[in-house]
Amino acid sequence: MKFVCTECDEPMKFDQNGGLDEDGSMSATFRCPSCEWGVTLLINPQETQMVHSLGVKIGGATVPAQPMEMLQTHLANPSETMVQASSASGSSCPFSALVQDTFNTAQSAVRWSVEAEQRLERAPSFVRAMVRRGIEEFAQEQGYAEITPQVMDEARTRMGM
Amino acid sequence: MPKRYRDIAGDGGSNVAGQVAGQMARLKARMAGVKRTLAVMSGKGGVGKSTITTNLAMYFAMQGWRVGVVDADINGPSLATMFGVRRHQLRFDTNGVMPATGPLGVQLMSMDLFLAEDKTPVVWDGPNAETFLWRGTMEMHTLREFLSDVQWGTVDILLLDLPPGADRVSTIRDLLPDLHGTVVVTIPSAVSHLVVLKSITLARDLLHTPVLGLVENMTSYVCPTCEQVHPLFGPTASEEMPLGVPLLGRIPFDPRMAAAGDRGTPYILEYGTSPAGQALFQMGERVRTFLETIHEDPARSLVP
Repeated sequence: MKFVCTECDEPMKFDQNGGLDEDGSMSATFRCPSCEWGVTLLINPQETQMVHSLGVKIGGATVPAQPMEMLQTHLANPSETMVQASSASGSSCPFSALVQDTFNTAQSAVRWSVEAEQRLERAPSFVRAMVRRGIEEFAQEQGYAEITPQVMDEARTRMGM
Repeated sequence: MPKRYRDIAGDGGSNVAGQVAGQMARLKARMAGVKRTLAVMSGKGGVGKSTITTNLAMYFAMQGWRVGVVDADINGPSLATMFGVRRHQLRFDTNGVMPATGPLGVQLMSMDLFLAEDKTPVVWDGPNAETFLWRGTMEMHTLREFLSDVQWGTVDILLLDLPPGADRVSTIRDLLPDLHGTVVVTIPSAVSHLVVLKSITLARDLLHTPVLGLVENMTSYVCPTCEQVHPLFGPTASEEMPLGVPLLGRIPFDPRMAAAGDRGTPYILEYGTSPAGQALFQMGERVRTFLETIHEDPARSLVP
């Protein structure tokens, strides 16, 4: 998929990954390098999943793929040994590569309130880890020690999640 | 005139084509250590593909070959049980996953090794709606990872046990353009032969994959009391096989074969001197002859 700025007749460049929404939809912004006019591609959950199932990443891969990354990321009911093995390989979260690509952050130390955890549980399982990390990143940047539903609302507004 | 797709190099930054090319390069690099690749297939289910694959793998291992096996039946994996490695503990490192090691050092990768319990089906995390859009792609890329992300090392032959149906042959052909051949398994029934015809046509005539030949499984039944051989399904087909495909073997039915698979001990190891065991050895010899013919003299390809 490519985008052309019709005014400048210039191919647009990938600008930023808008992250995943709680329902698995996603956004990616492309911008014209000449006039800087931008267009945001809104991707529905099925399309997001299609991209993931190809083992590729929108915006390009910034880290090499982990062995069996697609399988580790998307198998809903893995064996315990597989979970342990992926932890041992440095991938404690099956979404770690995607998270790293999207948010490029380290493990967060902020707490989650019970209410916030319950609300996070409503997100589809295949995006939950990524949403969690995005909100943690936001909370750390804002200096919050605990993530509450209010912080989630704020993150959602500020980050387009 | 506005630009067209082909006028623009790249895709604005995602480099999806480059990412896919990287996947294929990784696969090619891994396959550099694999001397031969052979797919065992059938258009029809329940004809004994996995049994034939298991015993063919053991035949090659008994010849001193280093053997790898990929259970390409993502939704109905059975080889981990048949090789007795169902409880294998997966080990990952940055270079990939170590395969399970079965009898005689045969290496195996199967979806069964990734699932929580025996009763666990393969379920993917993803949107519940419209799974048909992406489920097939997930399976294809799982198979790609089985080939590219497993530390196969150097092997003389990598066998792929395909699920029923002809569609997976196309996937394998895309992933392994240098596939050395396919072995087609059938049973002596008109229905099975009819279905298998489509697989042969697809593999040989449309995908130009060498079809080494046909294995007719469960051809006959050896009576344990009188040791006489009786047809199991009906009159055995003639030596003339469908579409002129060579016959690689006719394997008699032996109830101990299923029991051996359930125990995780390949039949040919325990019952090599039985009529079915002898037939399996003869089948292995023929497959080996064909493979060596193709591999050592590509000009003599079996592709018409």
